[in-house]
Amino acid sequence: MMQFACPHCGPRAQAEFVYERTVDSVVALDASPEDAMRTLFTRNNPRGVDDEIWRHTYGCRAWMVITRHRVTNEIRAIEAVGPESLI
Amino acid sequence: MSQYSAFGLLRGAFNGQKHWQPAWRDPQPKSHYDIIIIGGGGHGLATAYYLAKVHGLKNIAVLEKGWIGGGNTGRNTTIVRSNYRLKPLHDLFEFGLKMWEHLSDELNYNVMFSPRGAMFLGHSDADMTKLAERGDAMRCDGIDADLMTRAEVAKFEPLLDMSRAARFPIDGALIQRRGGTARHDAVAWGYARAADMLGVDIIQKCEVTGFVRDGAAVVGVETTRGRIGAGRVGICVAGNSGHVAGLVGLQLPIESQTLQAMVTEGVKPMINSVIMSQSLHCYISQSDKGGVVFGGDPDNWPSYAQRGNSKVMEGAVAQGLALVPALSRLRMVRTWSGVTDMSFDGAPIIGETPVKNLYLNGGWCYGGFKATPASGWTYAHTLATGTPHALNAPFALDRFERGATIDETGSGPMPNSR
Amino acid sequence: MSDVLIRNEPVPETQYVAAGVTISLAGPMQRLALRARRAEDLETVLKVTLPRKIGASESGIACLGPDEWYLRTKVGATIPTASGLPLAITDISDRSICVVLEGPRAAEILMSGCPLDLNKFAVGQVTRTIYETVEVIIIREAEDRFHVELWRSFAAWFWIAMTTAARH
Repeated sequence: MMQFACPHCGPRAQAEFVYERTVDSVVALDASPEDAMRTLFTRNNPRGVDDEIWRHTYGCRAWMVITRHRVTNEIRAIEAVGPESLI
Repeated sequence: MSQYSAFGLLRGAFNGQKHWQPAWRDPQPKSHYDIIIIGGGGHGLATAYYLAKVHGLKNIAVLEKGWIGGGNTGRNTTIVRSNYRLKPLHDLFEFGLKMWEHLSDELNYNVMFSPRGAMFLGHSDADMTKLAERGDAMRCDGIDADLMTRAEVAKFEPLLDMSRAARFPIDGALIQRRGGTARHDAVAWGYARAADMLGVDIIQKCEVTGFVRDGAAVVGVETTRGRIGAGRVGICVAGNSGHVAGLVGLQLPIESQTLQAMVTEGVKPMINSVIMSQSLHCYISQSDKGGVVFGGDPDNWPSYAQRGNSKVMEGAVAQGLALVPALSRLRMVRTWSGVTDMSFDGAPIIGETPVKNLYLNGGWCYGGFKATPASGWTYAHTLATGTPHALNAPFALDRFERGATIDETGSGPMPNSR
Repeated sequence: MSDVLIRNEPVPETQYVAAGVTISLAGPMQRLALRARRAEDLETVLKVTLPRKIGASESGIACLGPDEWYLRTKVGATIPTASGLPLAITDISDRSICVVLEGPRAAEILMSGCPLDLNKFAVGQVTRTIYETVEVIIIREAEDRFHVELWRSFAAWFWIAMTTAARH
């Protein structure tokens, strides 16, 4: 199991966190239908590093962006965000 | 290469079994093939086999980055069934199930298909309603399905905890008696051997690192063993579809996740069927060798790591022990995980891509093994003719933008909550 | 008041005693979820000082997250709710129950399914976390006394889990 350093609570077990989606899949409110479709339904899905939105659901309930390597599980960065700053 | 037979085995017994040959050749890649299939899993090998057998094509290669049987084909829980709710899924998986019934004969290789019954337990009134609904949908599409009462379930699987005080009380079940299990490695080996005998080049330790483009079209692949030209290229790498499609600049409606499974020491027969559940994410069956095979939930977050996490594993085992308490006496001997292509509607993708001459077979979520023959059959048709087979036409890549998703659970574009 | 008189608790009301730990159900409480981007807004309405550090608690109010506090007080206490300010004060008194673990083995028993290291969890500290699959709020009331707040629907299972762990 991974351990995430929650920006608010410090190091906590991954069991307390829930993965939401990737940063590149947040649909802008003024997106064209084509862009919205592409953003909603496709992913880069790299076999490498990606920016992911996670929530400390069983903790402080805050959102964060976790930059993580998907093969090694190495965590490059964790940044606190509000829901509004993702759009 | 000779056919396997009981007579051959007997003759071998008098010659110290010295007649055994490698099951397939180890050829050098040629400079050009009519069709290249990327991915030597069950699906890719089945595709190559049917391309050669049904469509009469001779110049075909299967490129495998590792070795045959080393990817998801060797990492699943070997369950074969066709108990869905939607017609396109019924048609595809039932076509596959009918092929499983004759596959050992077809391939001259014992794939150990064992139709022991695939049983979904219901734990509440709501579960039983859902199961009845699913059973009705199956029977409407001509697939066998029977609702079982509590007493019938207790008789069929005596080791289930049928007490009313059970953690997950059992109210009944829905069974597809023609469902069951098959030997996963044997499926890959059988297709590999049969395809090889028809002249297909199976090239192992050959990873695709890029695509060769000529304008809008793909005309070959770059590999760790050099450039290979191709008339058509079929991606068949479920688990790594996102990565391989990314090499040609395609974004797919797929997110890769880890799915774990585990097996206990071998014991005498104790689990008769494949036990699944309408409410739980735990499936239990016993292999012919005697090990009890457990599977659980996907990890619900993206990963290519091919290793899982203890929480999900414990969850699956806790549910398994609650259903069959006797399992608590067994020792777990192995755990492993595979990378699954979680598609955005839970259904696979088989068909053309926006790139000319490039085709895709992927997005199988956690249910690709059972479809191996049907996947190969329909993908071979698509690759040979350039147009989809009637069975895989609904599973086109562009169904998402057309609003024609095949969403069995109705949960929308959420690959991580299926 | 009638709901208090006919309460039907999901766990036994007699305490469970095992070596090193006593497990019991706390009495009814008034519970409020407090949400606001700015703590000052809540302070204006409630006329109390809110703890600002996540995990800290002051006069029955615990800070659970950057915009969330949890208030526990006695049944019948009057809490102002109307404000006109951008905040939410929600009565969740009957959503949760509180299981009390007391004794030298209390931390060990909670850790049977909780990923936190409770040996490093200070007296007075509060956090939301998870026990197996159940969301819980853990409050360390004293060196060997924990309050565990959880939803009623999970309580029967949680009681079995706690008493089973205590028996081992």
